[in-house]
Amino acid sequence: MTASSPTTLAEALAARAARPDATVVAGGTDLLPALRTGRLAEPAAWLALHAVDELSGIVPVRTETSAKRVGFLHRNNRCGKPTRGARLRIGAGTTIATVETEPLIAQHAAALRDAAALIGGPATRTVATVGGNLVNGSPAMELGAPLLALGATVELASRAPGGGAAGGGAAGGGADAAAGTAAAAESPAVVLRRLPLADFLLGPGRVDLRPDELLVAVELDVPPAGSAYARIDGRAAVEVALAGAAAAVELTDDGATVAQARIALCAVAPTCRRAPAAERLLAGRRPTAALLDAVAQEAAAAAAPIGDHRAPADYRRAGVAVAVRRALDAALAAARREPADPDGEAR
Amino acid sequence: MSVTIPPTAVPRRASGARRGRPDGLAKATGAARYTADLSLPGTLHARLLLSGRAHARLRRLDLSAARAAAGVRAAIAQADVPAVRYGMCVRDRTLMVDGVARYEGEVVAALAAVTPEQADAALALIACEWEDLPPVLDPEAALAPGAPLVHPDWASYAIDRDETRSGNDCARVTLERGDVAAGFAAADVVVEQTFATDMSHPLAIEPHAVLADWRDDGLTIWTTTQVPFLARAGVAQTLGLPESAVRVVVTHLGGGFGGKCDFHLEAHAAALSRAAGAPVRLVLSRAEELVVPDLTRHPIRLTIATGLRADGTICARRARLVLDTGAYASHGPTAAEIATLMAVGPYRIDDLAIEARTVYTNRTPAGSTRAPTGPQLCWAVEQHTDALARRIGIDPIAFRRLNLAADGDRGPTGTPWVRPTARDCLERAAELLAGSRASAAAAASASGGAVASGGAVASGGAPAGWLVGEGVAVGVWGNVPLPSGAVVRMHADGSATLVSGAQDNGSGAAVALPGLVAAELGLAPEQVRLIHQDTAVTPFDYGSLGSQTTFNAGRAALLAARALRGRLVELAAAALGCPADAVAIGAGCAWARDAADVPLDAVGRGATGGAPAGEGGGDAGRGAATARPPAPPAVLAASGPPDDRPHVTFAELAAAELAAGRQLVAERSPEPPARPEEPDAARSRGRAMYSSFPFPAWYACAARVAVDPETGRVRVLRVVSCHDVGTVLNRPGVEGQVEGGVVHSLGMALSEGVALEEGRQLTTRLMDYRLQTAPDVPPIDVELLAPRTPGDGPRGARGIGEAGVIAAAGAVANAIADATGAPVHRLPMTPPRVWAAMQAAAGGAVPDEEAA
Repeated sequence: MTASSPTTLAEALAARAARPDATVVAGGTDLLPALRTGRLAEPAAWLALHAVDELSGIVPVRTETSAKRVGFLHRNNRCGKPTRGARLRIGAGTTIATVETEPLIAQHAAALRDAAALIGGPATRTVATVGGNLVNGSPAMELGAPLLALGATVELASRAPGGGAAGGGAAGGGADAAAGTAAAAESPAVVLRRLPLADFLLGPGRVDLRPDELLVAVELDVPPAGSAYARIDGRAAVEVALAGAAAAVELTDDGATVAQARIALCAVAPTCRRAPAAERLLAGRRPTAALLDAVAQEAAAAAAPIGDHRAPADYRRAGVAVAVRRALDAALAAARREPADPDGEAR
Repeated sequence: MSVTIPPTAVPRRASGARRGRPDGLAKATGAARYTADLSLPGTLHARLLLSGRAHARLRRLDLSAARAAAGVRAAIAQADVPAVRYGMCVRDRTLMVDGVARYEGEVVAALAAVTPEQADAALALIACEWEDLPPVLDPEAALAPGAPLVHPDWASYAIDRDETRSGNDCARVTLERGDVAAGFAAADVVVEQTFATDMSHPLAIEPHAVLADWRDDGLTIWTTTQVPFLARAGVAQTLGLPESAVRVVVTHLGGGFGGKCDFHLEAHAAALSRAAGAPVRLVLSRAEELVVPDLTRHPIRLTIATGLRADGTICARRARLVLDTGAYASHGPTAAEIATLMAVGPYRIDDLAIEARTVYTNRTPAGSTRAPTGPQLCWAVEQHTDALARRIGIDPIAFRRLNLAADGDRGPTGTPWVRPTARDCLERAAELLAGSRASAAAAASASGGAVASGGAVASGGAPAGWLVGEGVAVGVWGNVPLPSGAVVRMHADGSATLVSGAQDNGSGAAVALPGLVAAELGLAPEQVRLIHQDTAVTPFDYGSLGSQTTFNAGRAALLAARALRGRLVELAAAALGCPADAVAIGAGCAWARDAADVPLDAVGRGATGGAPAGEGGGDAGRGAATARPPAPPAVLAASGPPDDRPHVTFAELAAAELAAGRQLVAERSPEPPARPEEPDAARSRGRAMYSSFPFPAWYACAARVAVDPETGRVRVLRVVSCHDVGTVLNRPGVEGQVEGGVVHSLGMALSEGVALEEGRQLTTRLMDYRLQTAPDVPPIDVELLAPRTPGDGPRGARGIGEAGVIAAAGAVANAIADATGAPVHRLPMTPPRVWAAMQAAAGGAVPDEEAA
């Protein structure tokens, strides 16, 4: 049994390349129950990521420079206040508790905050990570639907073939370190692969993560929109969704019509996924109560819930409609409160 | 094994009567050692091989590879232990699988190895060949003629009661009174309903653990048991040993709730220790904890029909109960006895025909969990009571006032109820709940109601759009009079030790006993230590079951303390040269009273100036308490002797006695108070333990809930639980028991329920078996009535270990029905079930109800 605890991303990727069979652990809050119940075999090797500081942090980034951005959180990518076309970048090692309380999330990605607040209990949230929640790939994962509704892409890193020794990046500036993320200069040692979250989630417990890759970050849109997440459950903490829905809506300038809507569901299909038919029903229309009900029903019709000892399928399907309706109501309310988007600040 | 708490650490409050638990500090700081913490040099680690099958014949079992595995020191199966059948009510089981496994958690074999990893590895080397048999899963189907038998040899098993069994029904218990046919004929209205409850678990946080050390000169077992003497008897019986050779010790018990109320795995660990020649420790995992020990809570199916007169009074009741008792009878028959009494409840009903069947199925057995059958029956009967009230058009509380038993009314077996306080508990609970409405309304208007249903909502307030309802439930429970012994010994320095048979399951009842003794002797609580839960040292006691510890062990401790006090008074009188009835004691001293003294506290004096009924006094404690008038107790002072008054210390008296070759010790094993006459009991069949609720304790619960009409999600906003426990000896202890009981009951009401598939439990992790979490728990008000009935326990106290768990589920059920108009007849009332009931009601259906 070997264990490694790298402190930099480069070290982590080297360890990953050296032992692709090692079990990767950050907070371990899904891993330990899986080990205890025998769902996961006792690992031959561990790769612990809790000490890789540069995997943690939430920062706004500018999208115009995405073509040039290959390094990890290059200083030039960062922007001040997020504006139209900006994105939020969340390090995979960021704890759920941070997501729950970070003002940027509350302001620009409320659905994610809503969901983070529901994961486990307070103790779990201080060590569980965004990356862990995603890579575990549970169909009932809390963060999947909000991130899909917010147009998330995942960033996967691996050591470049024949890549140089660990490190090779200049240390970032002090301000970056204070934000919890270290900037690495563009480095030939790291290969990045980006894909939409919808393509990353393949099925129950399956994600598109190659054996030499680590999930390093998630990026999501910061549109002038409102978002929210609603969950159907049975008790107040340490609970798993019976059905869940996230909604992100963007209104036209006069606030009367839905310009764009994204609706995503959790716990009612093999993976978290969008509800495109329901979205199309809403786009470009005035969000009347009757229309919202119809949208919710459309989403429920598209769900594929299982029935089990916790709840029969018809309950979950009805729950989808309720969750979608509630998420839409809250997202619309948030969108109407959103101030008119000014031009971005000078950087 | 008690811990000294420095006086400054004990919370002092204005009410004065509160004090901390003697074991509290050790438990809170982690210093307390539980059974799984214990180790002896050379301790081996045990693992159990479970059948994993609901019903199967064991064709072949081969332990040879396991025995030869690295580190393994012993591996045993049924062939390696005496062929003995045991069981509390029916002797229907063996330590390990004897040919046929009848539930998934039955032990096939046990082994012990040097390390846990070696034990795990060796377990995999045990070779078994099984032939699956058709499992019996549905109790109703099991009762049908020709059904496959769980126990083909049932007729050969010894049973503790008159023959009332057949086939898969191991105990048919009836309760009959009056003429039920005539009663129904005379009824103006009849309502019949059906209810069903799921299996649930007592779920103490501490799993079963045993450390057994077999030596040539005797066997010592440290174990997580609520019943040390019963465990000792079980070990002796199954391993063929004299009880004198077996010592059972409990350190701290991390909760029991009935789940540790029997002889479980002690003999397995002991047999391994004997085979290995080393101490053996067995600790169950959480999944094993839920599947192996045979004390789950009975699933019950209940059909109940009640006849009403036009004026709203109940004239007749008929009920049929089917208890799913699992693979072995365990305490099922006793639970069935209680269930028939709970089907009548605290109501005045002259014509009764109640029948309970105790049915074998191929599942983990059920037994006497905390208030066995109480929560399930109260939930059903109190919903039925509300349905009766609705049917006749009377408010639920007024209906209960009309029908609750009053002083002099006869209980189900003809015994008159003596000053029952169910009505008082009900009025008080309803009053307090109504009083909390104002603050709830304020909280509701302040609450924003988060979108995500798990989000924070102001406590006491309902989320916006939810339906709010209120409900009540009332009940009665018994205090079992059982023998218990206590010894109080004074040492040369005037301190004392109480040696009690009591077992403390974490309720604090036993660890509170030294405080009782100290109060009787006028000593500070720290001056009296407790020795308990060690069968080699203490007198007999049944253990922490049946709410009996305070009631019986308290009686014994009190009488022993009074006997010792009598001796001290005699010695002091001789030393001071005054009559014995002029002696006052306090603060470890004795002195002669002076007529001019300020009146002193008369602690220990009964309400009439003599000893309370049933306790005796002085040296008359042994035998019938009312045989001769008790000696007047010494007057206890609140503090020591007045200044300049000649006095003598206990230390001086004790030292003098010891020097003269005499011990200062008193032992009492008082005869339990006699049960009242039961003129109508003869018509009831199948009973061995409970013909009625002895020495009843009364309670009522009122609850307010909010229900999400779109999802059936229930949030309990407030619970009031009102109890008559006679004298309150230790208020924080009683309140703690009730609060914990209410939370336990809410769990059964809303989220706890075992899902089974082909006889195997699906919910064997705490992630899946859903307990209530801290944010789920509402404000709980505990109200204790001032005592009105003459008590039969120490100083008039009654037990409270169980009553707290019974009524909250029923109150919540009635509150849900009040909120939604759709009663739920399945327990737990999970969101899908509440939702389904609302859907059905909206469609015009009425759940399981026929009104004639």
